[in-house]
Amino acid sequence: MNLNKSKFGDFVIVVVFILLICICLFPMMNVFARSMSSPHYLIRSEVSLFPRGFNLDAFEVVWSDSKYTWSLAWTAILTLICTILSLTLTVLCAFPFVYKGLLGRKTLNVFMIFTMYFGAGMIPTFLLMRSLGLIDNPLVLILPASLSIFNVILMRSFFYGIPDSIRESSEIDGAGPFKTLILIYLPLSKPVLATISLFYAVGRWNGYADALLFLRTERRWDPIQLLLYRVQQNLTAIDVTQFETSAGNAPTEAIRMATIVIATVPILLVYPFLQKYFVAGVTLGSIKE
Amino acid sequence: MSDNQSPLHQSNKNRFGKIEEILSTFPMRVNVTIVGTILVLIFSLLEWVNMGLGVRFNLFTLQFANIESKVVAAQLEWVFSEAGSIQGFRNFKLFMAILLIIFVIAIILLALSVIKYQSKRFRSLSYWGFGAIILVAVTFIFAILITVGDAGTTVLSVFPLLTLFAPILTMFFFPFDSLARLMNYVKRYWVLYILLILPMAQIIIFRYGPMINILAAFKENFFLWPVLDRPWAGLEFFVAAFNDPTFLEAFRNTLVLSFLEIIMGFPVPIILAILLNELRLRKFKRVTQTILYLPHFLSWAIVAGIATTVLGNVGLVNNFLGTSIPFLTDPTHWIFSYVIIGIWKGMGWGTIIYLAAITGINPELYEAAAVDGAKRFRLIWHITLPGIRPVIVLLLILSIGGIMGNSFERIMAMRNPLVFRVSDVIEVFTYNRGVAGLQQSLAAAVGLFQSIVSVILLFGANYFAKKTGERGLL
Repeated sequence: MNLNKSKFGDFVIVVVFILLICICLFPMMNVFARSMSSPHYLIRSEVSLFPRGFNLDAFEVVWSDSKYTWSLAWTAILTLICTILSLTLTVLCAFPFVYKGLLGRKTLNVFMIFTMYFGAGMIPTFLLMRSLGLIDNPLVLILPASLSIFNVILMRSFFYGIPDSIRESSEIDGAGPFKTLILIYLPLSKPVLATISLFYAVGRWNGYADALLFLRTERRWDPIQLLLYRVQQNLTAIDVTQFETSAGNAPTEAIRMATIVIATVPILLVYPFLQKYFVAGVTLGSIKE
Repeated sequence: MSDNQSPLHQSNKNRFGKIEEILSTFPMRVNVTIVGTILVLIFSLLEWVNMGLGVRFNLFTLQFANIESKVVAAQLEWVFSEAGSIQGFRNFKLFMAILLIIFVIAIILLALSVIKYQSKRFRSLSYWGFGAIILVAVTFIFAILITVGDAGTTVLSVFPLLTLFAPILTMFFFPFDSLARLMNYVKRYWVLYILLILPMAQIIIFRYGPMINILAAFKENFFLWPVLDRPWAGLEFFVAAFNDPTFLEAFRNTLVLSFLEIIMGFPVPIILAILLNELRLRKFKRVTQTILYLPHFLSWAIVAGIATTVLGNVGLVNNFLGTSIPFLTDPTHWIFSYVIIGIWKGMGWGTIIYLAAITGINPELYEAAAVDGAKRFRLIWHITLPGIRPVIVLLLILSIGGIMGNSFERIMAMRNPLVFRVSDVIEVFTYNRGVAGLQQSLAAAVGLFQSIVSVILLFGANYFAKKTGERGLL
């Protein structure tokens, strides 16, 4: 359809987006390039978008450091455990709301939603974790964040979309609620299950606030992002003093870049294939608000 | 037998035999209430016996915590001493004795009403019993509130008393009129409650559990003690917070960063979504979206790493411009870098909701306007923007609710010693004082202030939106 739109306007919009793409991509390309460049060019800060003096020394250093490899492996395991647990809890929490006759349905709903708007805060949570003995305990990275109310609502609104008649006919055939969930609801909601598990997985892979708060002295359970944060904080301190002399510490910098790249790559690998699920999730959440 | 029984009820009579016969004299909810009350009484008694023995059962660790009996004895002594009486009631012993007598009478009334069920004369006794229990509970709670001395909550635990209200509520809201109906319901729905156990346990423990510890804000800073055992401090730490220049600075920083974020960042996704909608090259549009969404998936630690590299003194941006602007080391520059990096990370992702809203606009509106000769800008201004207005309002309400809380991960990753003066927001203050430092009460007070202001802002914005005729959040 032709809506009186000028060719020139289209051209301007395309140019704007090309600029935005550059703004989004160039910083990341710069980091990738620096992680693979030789110290010679890094010191003179002559690396912009593509590696110069290509080498992978920095990656070798990171790979041979057991601290990084263990942290990566641990974060991967952690992400897997958290995703499975969270997904299970989310389904269990969302499904009973499908039954309109459930006593206490409204009360439970308010009970849940209330926590979305009012949180206890950092210190009370910290004190709770302390009295539960979860400080410096790997479980603190799994249990407290294992249920996101937003995701429950997402799951629930998808379940609401499945016609009640399907459920009722399965019940006439003698299936109880649990069987109905496993045999009918779950197979029908594969897309939303994918979306929600991705939300949980990315959240766990990228999150480090809980680790920063609750892993006080034990360094063994640091997820990769907390490690990055520590590297980052130490090195910014160094950077700051070096700004005066403007002589960068090239090998250290390449290594720092390499740690960033290694922590980013898993996300970059899965992202293009799963993007549509993320978008679907956000759209579903916004429409059914 | 009473005559208000349903046929369903009768048919089940044989199965439950004698018990059924007894229970059936009263309406169902009365029975449930009686059983509930008895359970609660047993629970409360146990709690008080616990405390008498100097032992407390910790509901969270499921362990008995040994309070040193000397401490308890001292506290008990204090409550009954002159000093305790002065702060509480003049005749504390007498007061306690009266309460105890009322309590005993209530139990006797309840017991009588159950045993002597057949006689109509006694039936109303149960109501008297409930009334007495409400009276005792209310007086107890008031007594505790008045006795805000050291031993207030330690000696007289409030929580078992609060549970007394549960059976009374059941009395009014129990929805079944017969045991048979109840059994029918349970048969149909019990699985669902089993399914809910784990998620609800998670919510209760990890979302409601911390709320008890909010009391830490009103208690002395005995940071190794369990919160309930700490002596009361009143509003001391709220006063202390507002006399603390570091907190006031953190408060100011929070407001500055949040307001800049909203003013500079809020319109960006709206504009981008409208522009994306105008893109007619299908493939280019898809690639653009993929790339614009990407930064959302990088963690704040990574984004901060990229930022220090790209915005550093010899970084990509300064090299390109041929300058050496101190983006991250000068406080004023840092504030804008902080906001712009946030926009960089979130702009693409933020468009999704708006794009979904734009898709929902009726295309006939555009066609009709185009026939009338409207050009691109007029179409956007008169159709697209009004079409997504509810979504804009909704997201604006949410971001106003978020003014008091900056993302902890984001600020922790992006701050550095040269800009602490402008980067340390309320959350950083709370973290430094309460988790890394030892001023737990102060930090808890600040945290509570923050939560309450957030909730007020959220509902205030919502109220305002509704007043001006928008749909609002709730």
